[in-house]
Amino acid sequence: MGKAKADPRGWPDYTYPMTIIGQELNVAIDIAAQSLPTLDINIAASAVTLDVNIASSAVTLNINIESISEGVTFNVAQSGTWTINAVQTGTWTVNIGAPLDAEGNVETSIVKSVQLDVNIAASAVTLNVAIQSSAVTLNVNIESIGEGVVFNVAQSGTWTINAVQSGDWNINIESVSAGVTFNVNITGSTATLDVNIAGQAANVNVDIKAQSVAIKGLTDWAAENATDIDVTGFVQCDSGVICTVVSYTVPSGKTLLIYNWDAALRDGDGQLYCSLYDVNAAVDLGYGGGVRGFSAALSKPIRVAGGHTIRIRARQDSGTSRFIHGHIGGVLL
Amino acid sequence: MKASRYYHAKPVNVVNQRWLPDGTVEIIIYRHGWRKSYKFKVKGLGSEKEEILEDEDIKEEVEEKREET
Repeated sequence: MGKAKADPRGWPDYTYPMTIIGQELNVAIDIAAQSLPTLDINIAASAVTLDVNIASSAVTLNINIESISEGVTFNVAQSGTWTINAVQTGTWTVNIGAPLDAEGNVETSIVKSVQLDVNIAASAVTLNVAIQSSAVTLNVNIESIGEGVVFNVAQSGTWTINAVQSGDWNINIESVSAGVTFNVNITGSTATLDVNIAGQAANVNVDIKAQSVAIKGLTDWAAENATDIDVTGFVQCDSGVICTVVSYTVPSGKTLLIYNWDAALRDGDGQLYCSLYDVNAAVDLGYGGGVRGFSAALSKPIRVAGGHTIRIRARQDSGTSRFIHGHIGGVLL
Repeated sequence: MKASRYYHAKPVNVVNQRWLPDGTVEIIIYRHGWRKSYKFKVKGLGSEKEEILEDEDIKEEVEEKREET
């Protein structure tokens, strides 16, 4: 068929009710009217190709579909590249009304290999991905990243990772030439970091090489945070008499861990004997002594419960009255 | 707060005790962050019949903040 010209014969406009049932028909339809109320095209054949070629550069094609009773199906089976170029300014909206299927869901299947790029350049975008099904598998496999992945969490509230999957959870940092820094920064003044290992056969391997920052034990931490305590005392004690040199009652609700204690004669030599005595329990917790004094650094702290009174009781046998000084050092928890 | 009450109720960092021949004890307490130490005197220290003889008032800004929290 030759190239159609616009209204080639200049005939008047009419309305032609037309139904095409034939096997092979070439029909040229020349519509030059300014208004065309209804154009019904019914194609009953099973193998029809309907080409719509719009070659003009200034064509507006509006497709407005209203009041559809049975829905619209768009089946795409063509191979190759499908591109939607959204260059129009303004708002692009996809409204999917309910119900879309019997359950009211949108079903989309992506078969085989698909590259789905989501590029969001706006500075204030919210991308919500809500997965409510109980049997959803979300696999995120990232390969061949040139610039790394950054996951910035700035939302307030509670972030929880529930690791209920069986098996191993691994954070593997391997083969990084420039080194890796794994920071856990807790800036809250009342933060608690609980690491609870309930397994009876659990092993914690800490292998730190070339450590430039010290790992602090309880006593270092206590001194730094002002929960350490040093109690000193002195008394003039006659020879052969038991004297109290230091007495301290642990505040209620606290526990005293004693890490060291010591005593000495101030004025001169003499046999000195001391005991660390829990008044409430009426038990001795440790002993010490020497010619002029002693100092005991304990590898295991001595625990004294809150409300209990701990004392250094001393006796010196120099044959004359002497001043005895004593000291208890520990941590209040 | 009186020094003796603080000594019995709250943690301190340093305690110096001077046991006197009459059975009384002068106690100096200090907590990190305080401007100075505070003293009180007690008879029968650590016993049920403990009696406070002298007692200083603790006036520390750092302690007032701790009290508020």
